[in-house]
Amino acid sequence: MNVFERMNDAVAGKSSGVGVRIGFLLGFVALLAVPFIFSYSEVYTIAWMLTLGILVLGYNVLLGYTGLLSFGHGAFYGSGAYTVAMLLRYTDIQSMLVLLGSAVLFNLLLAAVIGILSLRSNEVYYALLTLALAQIIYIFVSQQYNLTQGTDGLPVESPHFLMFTFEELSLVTYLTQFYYFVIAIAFVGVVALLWRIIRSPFGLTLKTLRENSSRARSTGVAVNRYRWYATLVSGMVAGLAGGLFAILSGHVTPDLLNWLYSGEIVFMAVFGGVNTFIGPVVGAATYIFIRQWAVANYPSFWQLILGGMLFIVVIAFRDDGIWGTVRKLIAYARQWQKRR
Amino acid sequence: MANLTNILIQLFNGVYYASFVYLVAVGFSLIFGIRDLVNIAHAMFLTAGAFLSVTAIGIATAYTDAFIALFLGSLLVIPVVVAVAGIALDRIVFRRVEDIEHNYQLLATFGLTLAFTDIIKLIWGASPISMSARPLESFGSVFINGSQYPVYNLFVIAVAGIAVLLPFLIFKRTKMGKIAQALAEDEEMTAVLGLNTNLVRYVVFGMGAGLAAVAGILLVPATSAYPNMSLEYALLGFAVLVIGGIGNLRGAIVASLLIGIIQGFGSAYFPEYQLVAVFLLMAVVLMIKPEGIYGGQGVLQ
Amino acid sequence: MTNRRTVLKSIGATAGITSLSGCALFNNSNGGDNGGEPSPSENVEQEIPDDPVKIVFADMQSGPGAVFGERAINAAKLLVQDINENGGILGERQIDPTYLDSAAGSEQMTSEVRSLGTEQNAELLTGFTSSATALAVASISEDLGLPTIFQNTGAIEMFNENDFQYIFRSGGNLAVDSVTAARLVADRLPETETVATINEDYVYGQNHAETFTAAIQQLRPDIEVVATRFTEFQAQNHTSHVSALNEANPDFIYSSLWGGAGVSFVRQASAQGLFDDTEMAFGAAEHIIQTMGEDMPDGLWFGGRGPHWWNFQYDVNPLRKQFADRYHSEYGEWPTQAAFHQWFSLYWYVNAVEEYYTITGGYPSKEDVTRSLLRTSVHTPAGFSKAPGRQAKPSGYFGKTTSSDEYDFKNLTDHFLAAPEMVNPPDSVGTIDWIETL
Repeated sequence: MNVFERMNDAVAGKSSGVGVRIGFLLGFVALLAVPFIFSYSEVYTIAWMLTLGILVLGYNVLLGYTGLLSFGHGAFYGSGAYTVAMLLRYTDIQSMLVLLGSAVLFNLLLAAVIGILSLRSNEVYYALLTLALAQIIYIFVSQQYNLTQGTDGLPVESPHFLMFTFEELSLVTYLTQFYYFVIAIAFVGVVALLWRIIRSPFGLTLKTLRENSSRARSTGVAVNRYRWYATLVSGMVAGLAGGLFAILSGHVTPDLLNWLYSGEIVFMAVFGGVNTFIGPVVGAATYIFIRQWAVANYPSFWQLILGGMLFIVVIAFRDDGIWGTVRKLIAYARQWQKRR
Repeated sequence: MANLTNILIQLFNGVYYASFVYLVAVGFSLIFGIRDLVNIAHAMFLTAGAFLSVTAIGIATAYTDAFIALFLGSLLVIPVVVAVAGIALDRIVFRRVEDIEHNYQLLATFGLTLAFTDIIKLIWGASPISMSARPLESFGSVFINGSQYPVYNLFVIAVAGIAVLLPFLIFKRTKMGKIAQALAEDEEMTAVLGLNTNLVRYVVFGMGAGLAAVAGILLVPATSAYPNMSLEYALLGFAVLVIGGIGNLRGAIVASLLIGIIQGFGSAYFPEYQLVAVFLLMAVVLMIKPEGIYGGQGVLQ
Repeated sequence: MTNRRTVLKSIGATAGITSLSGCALFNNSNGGDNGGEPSPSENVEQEIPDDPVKIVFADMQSGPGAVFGERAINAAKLLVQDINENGGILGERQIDPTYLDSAAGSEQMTSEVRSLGTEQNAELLTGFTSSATALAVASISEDLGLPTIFQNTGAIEMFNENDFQYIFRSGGNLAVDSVTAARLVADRLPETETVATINEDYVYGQNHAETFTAAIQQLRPDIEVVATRFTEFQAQNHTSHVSALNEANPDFIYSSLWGGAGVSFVRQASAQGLFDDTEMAFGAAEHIIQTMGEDMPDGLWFGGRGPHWWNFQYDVNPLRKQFADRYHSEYGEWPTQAAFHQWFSLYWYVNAVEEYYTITGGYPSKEDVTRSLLRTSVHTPAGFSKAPGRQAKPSGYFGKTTSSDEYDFKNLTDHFLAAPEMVNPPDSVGTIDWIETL
């Protein structure tokens, strides 16, 4: 196999160890090069895409690998963001690492509770239950004016990192010379971690749950427990993504917790393709790109464009999404080439 | 006895609100139950009914001042128009969604909702529009123990009452009921038996769309028409579905009443918890009895 | 065509008046309130740039907030066209407008502003309406040095809690409506013994309730507040709230309900006889009068963040007549507060640039513009605004709905007007703190 074939395999998700590693490494280098190539606002947009990438990677542990469509994942993303914003506002905690760690831990608790409450429901009932639970959290957060400033949201100042403080830095320098790299490293870390988890026996068990939960049950798999674990992983990853986003954007609003936002998260994952590992990230990036383009160019009917796109992608590609479809096309092309 | 009067009035308010919830949700629930189609975009037929009635009445008032006659006329004609348009849309768009997983139906129709909202906006603008006459006043008011109450609200309740009967009549008195029941229970079996299911599919979809349009028309005199006016009812449609049980007529009635009364008394006496209450109820039902209060019993039981 | 020329002439006149007072200040090397920034007089005189000036109009064009945003954008399109047809700013520099739908959410807007403030090199950002989006955008504009003028955003602690240099607001603090309503009760409705409030359950509505109640307690401590009600955001069904208000039976009700929710409330309350023995005032909702047409009951009070009812002082203020007629001929409806705010934002900026140029002979940088904005007085269609500082301080206004033979909607009469300093806190003081000194 030459390098390109290996890369192709990596793209196709085949676990030929070397190919994956090369692809991974090249991707990492490409990510680190971003601030040296792109302009400030492009770097911001890419950083934003990466936080959403982290979010949907974690989300896909539920949707793609366990087969649970949560319509309330915004609650986890938002709670991560609010954990950071609230701690900065009401405590003396200034360390970025502690803040992000707290967001992950808080989400572990939240996911534990939501996981237990939603264990017994399936399919569309699960979607509706997560929607209802998330909506309760959304209403609670937007009604606590004195604590959360309600719908106005909370500002988020840049926290410290180890011994560095950033009060004097401009937004541009802060992002392009420091914070972007935090996000890029976190993204790569989450990719590596989830890749391992998915390939572990645990991940393979999740997949059997997706394919047939009653058969999994009859073969002695503790279905509920595995679903609960998946919820924990997914919730914690969302907490990290939310925390990273809060610091990135500098302001959090309850919109992040709303069911419409949860719908956008599902949108991103499905758009990219839920039966591939990296597809949801492609979906998040493409979604943000198209959304920005549509709002800037067609401010009076951008929702028509997005809605129509969602409809077509779901009807035409379903589980494959755009990334899965690209992969299939590559596979066809290779077969065709071989036949010649 | 002032308190009793107030409670009575709040009860009317609750049932009044429940009427709208029912008119939208009954179609949503039946289409899910019988057609196996989760259609978030269903509430859009409410929006369509509302805008069409504003436009139609706006044009007609240039020729006549008989507002009540016009309003009643639009209440009869426009739902039929929307029902027919709904069936056409069903053939063109929704049929394509019918065979995929529920999760994807949810997403695809969510996309349609976004798109449809913008189409309405492109035609009628983003700001609220309303009828220029005084529909609420035309109906007059009654006094309940000294408190003024609009006849229009009672009229809405009455229309919803008739609408409650409609599906019962269709399903109890005709053969369609049996087919619908069979479809809800086992689709493949129905096909094997060689029953003509297409008619039932269209009737269910058309009836649902028409009833949602009725809700839209009834809503306009008390509010106004704007592109995302049905969002509230789309969300409550889920609540009805969950609380009443998928595709169950009696469940839809009970759940709508429950939600209406929670909203009515809730916003009067404990407004800060009213909003949470519906979702809490929804969550609790899902956790304890996921198939809903009347779930798993088919259409009519 | 003559219309536009007249508009421009009056603007020229404005610049003339204010330049006298502004002259000395521009040479002050301490730069006024903003600390020791370098004085523009040290700079080499800048030519008027050849490239057009990029101005961004970001307002809500979808969702419920479109009742404000759509009209602001309408006005912007009209005004930009007028200015460009007359040569542009200073008669030379064309405006290159960008329109965005800020209903896309604060997440996307903050991302957008980063690009506008850097690579896209926008020189002015206006709009937003939603205070959540405005607050999120403010810190970014500030950091990137992008002059930003908010419009309909009413947030009450915007300028006293933040030390902004680049952020301004052409629509006043929302207290303009609530405090004026309290003054209306105190001055015009002396018989009032009990009041109630009904507002939407989010920060904007909460602040209206809070500021109105504080002001009433200050101005008429004898009055009892018998109900403080909050409705779901943009709810359609208010029947239960109306019944509960009937039960509480106050003499006067204050509300900040707007848009579709405002229309619904008025209809349902009217049908349940709430207005029969109760005076009611709607701050900020004058835009629903045209929507409701004949269906609007007589005798309700309406404000609009200042004297923005389109025909108030129509015959006295030529700018108002010009603007209202122009807007009406283009869009078939009369301008509402959002359109007036957009006018203010754009011409505040244009005047600031032109005045700076007249005085110093050079074209201002973005930073120079912020200093000029602080001192530029503006003749607006809604009246003269003398050196607004960081934010406009409109007069307080309420009028009463009355049937009219001239229009197919109700007119506002029985005007109640309060001087700007009676209804606006100074920029540096918290709104509630200020109300407690009334």
